[in-house]
Amino acid sequence: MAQANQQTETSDSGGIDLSKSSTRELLAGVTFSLPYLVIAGLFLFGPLLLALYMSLHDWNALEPGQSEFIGFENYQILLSDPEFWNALWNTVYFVVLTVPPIVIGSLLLALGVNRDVKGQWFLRTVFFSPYVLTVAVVGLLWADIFNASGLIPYYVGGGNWLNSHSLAMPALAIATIWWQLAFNFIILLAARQNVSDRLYEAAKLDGASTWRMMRDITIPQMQNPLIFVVIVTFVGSFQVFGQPFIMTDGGPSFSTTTIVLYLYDTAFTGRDFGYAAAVGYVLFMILIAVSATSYYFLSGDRE
Amino acid sequence: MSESTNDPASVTFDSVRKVYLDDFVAVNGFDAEIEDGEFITVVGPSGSGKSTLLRMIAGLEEISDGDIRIGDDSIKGVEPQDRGIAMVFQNYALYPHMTVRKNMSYGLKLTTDLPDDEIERRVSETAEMMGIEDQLDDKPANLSGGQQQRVATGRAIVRDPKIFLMDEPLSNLDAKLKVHMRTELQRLQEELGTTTIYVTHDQHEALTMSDRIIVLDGGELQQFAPPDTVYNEPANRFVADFIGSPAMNFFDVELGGTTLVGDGFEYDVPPAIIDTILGNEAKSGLELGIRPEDITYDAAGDNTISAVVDVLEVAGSDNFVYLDIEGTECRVRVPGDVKPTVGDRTEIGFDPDDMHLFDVRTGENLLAESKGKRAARKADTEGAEEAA
Repeated sequence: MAQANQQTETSDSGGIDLSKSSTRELLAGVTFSLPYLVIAGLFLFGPLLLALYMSLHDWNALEPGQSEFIGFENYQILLSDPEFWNALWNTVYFVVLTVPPIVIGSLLLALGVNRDVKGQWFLRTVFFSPYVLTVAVVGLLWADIFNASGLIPYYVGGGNWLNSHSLAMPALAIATIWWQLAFNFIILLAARQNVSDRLYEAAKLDGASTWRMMRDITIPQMQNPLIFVVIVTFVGSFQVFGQPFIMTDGGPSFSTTTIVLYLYDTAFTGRDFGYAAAVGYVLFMILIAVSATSYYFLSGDRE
Repeated sequence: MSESTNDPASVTFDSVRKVYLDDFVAVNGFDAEIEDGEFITVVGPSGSGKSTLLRMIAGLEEISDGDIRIGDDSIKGVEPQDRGIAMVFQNYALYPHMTVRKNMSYGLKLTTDLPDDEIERRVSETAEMMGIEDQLDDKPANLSGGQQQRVATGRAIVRDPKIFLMDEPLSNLDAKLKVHMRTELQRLQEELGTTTIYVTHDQHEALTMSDRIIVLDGGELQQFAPPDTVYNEPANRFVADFIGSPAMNFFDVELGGTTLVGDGFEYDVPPAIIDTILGNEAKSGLELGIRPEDITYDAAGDNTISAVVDVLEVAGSDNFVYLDIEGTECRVRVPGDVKPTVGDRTEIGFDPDDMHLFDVRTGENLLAESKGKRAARKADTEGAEEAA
């Protein structure tokens, strides 16, 4: 009996040890995640909740405590606000002009540079270099190029593109494509280099043409990086701000006013922070919808 | 397969040479004739050119010089898919995003005008043969290593090729599965009768699986012969050293009269061997080779060599004793119940018919040819004694 008791005690103490070790593991996990949780809490979830809170108020920036709760009134106004709709359509136009060329262009560049061409290192550097520039530099550089006396009007015509109602947005799009291609190019190049050469060899023996290899091996094997690139490019283009802010200031006659630029103007020029927060929230919802849709369509099982 | 459209084909290598862009010669002046239906293994150390050889047949590498013929036709300028070959890669190279079914049918869809139901029938038949019929709708990532290997082999079989090319197809499997798949591949090859060229760095695979072995080193053919010939009558020192585990023992020796003199030992050799040595004009600069299993531990008689036990390696049914003969290591295979103590002094001996003698300058095995005859003679004598 005494022996049996002893055994029970031993197994009990074993149990305590186990729970101690799992507590320690949990503690270690939380401790290591803490820096991220704090930063994300402070700079991501905090502002997200604060913006939602602001969007439901007639926000008083000087004395936030005096802000009046108005429910969804900001959202109701927004739906019938022609300036908001103009900004939304401008943004969609910009997205249409930039996302396909950036994604397809970076894919083609990545596939091209991946081939055994001479000067591969040089080409990679050349294609990546625009990405290291800030939006201010890119904006000023391209503003000069599209200027009435700039390179593009000189060779292509059209006068000062940035003053043209129809050409200003394409001008912003061109500058953006040139600037943003690099980031996607590097990601897709890395993705392509991760595809095993053996798969191409197997496909070659199976009789696949270059086009079939692209369709049946390259694209499916690069599916996840491609989804990432598409979503990141969508998000980036929907959030465009720096280029119109620096190159056109939303003009001429609001033809390049994008959602974020409109949000900025509403908040910092019009001092209507509650309304601007509502605009921000609508953009947030659009981005979630676009990302989810892209993911849904691109990650579809090809079998 | 039951309705074979492609008959097995012979493969002829005619002074084949492969030089890479950086002037590295991977294969140099390679000549060989592989008969139809043969199972050939190509064996050699890393960088010996064995995979390059296979990839040239497949059409994945250009032939720099010389020619390769499948049947009577040169493969130069023929697209890989039109050469009548199918290949199993070392890491299988299964298309990860395709199901097993699609992996297996992909080549047939691209290269034949077979109707879908015929392709489906062939895939099912092959899958059944390979025991993967339940995995047809799975993707490679959901399969075990052994199953992936079967899919890769099935993908090759379903093409009904004239020649199978296999590039170390079992090297990613664990030891037990490797042995199992080895016999399975042999059985398949016998059933299908398809000419098979199998590249491996595993000499054990080479010895157990093939009709003939090609031994390569530095891009050059060292020996092309059946497994027992390669093992018992190695053409040169490289083959002798590369084939066999543990490796053959080597001792630097010189011929003094009727005796081979090495560091710390003398060994009397029969007149027939002396004649062969003298005929080759290589009295000095000789290397004596003897396999661990051909040495008698604790030998009696006067033609023995004195040695000290250095290490004992217990390996179950057999043990390996590492002996020291005046600074030269000598490995001896002994039965599992022989367990000498380190430091023991012993005498070892061997039958002169089992020894090999290499010319140090050329590496050539001076006794290779005569050894075959002697082995036959020995077998005859033993047979006669038994009969008596």
